Amino acid sequence: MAKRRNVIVNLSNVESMTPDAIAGLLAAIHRCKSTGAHVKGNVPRSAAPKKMLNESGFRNYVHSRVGAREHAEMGRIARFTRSSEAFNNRFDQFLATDLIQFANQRLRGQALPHQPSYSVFSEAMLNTWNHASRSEDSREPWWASVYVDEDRHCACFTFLDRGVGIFGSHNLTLKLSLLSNLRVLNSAQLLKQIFKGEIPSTTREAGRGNGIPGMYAHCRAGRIKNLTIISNHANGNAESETYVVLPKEFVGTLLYWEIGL
Amino acid sequence: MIASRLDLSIAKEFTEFPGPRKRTEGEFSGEQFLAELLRPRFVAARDAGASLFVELDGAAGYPTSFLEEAFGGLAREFGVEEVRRVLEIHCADEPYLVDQIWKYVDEATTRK
Repeated sequence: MAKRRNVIVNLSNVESMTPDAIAGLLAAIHRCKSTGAHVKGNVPRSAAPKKMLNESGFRNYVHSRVGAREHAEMGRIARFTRSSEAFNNRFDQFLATDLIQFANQRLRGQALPHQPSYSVFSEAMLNTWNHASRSEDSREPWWASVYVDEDRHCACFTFLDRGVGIFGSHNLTLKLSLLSNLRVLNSAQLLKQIFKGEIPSTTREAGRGNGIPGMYAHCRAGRIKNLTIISNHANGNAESETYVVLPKEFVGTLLYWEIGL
Repeated sequence: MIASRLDLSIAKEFTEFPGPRKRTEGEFSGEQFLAELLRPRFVAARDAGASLFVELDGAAGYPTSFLEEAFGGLAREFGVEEVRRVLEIHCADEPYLVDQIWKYVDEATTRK
């Protein structure tokens, strides 16, 4: 029998935190747990990241000692798992709607829809469902979250999976290898081309390949802000049009965007 | 009397929560909408010499895959010209969606 490992998540010295990091942290913790590891941790001593962590909905997914649990005032986190019920429902528009309405309730005082965010969530779920898994037989779980940043008057959405990533997708890799003129491009430059719809669809079917370019169009039109994708070695921001190669690989795909007042 | 216009409200007649592209991917898909509402209503309008006025308002949002499968799928079946002749699209909530749909119709048979 394999020896169980202990993992300590020490956040005590964290001075600043962004909302996307919370979803990433939860995904990492649950990945550790899924291997049988025993995970323990603490919260930042610094007030701002501690407040964000406690109000984000993070504590709904970890065990907290009695008295340390706090109501998630500003955030909400949802997880798609391999459980039987969720597994059969590949696309969960109601979950997306719940997060969006939560954000608008906090931002505007009304649980209004936000159609561009609904569209981004939808395409993210489908991309994860169809492309993120390492095998044909299983599907990759994902995390979706929203955190309302009172100081910046915006809602911050994150969608995350720990799958193969955009550049680990077998079909895309195959496609890129056939495009000899793109061979000289690094992953950041390729991400820029994916944003702009310049990489052909991997399905070879008419009408496909509109998902990420559609998100990019929402951002360029100002319907969402600060759209960011981090996947494998690429980090791209559609608003600032900055695309960089990461020194260390990010396993999976993280999608982040904001809506303001 | 022949109606000069048939109406179809996605939110009122299908769902306020449009889903993915294919039925196999989840509920209220573009494929389902095309099969159960859009195609029959389009054929009825065309055969009656009427237009089909599709109303998008009132929904939580529209995945691009849903719209492409439904409206691009219609154009793949009946041709771009016929779809452009019969279909009218309205969306006051998110007016850019109208152009987006026409783009899917125009590019319905184009492989990227």
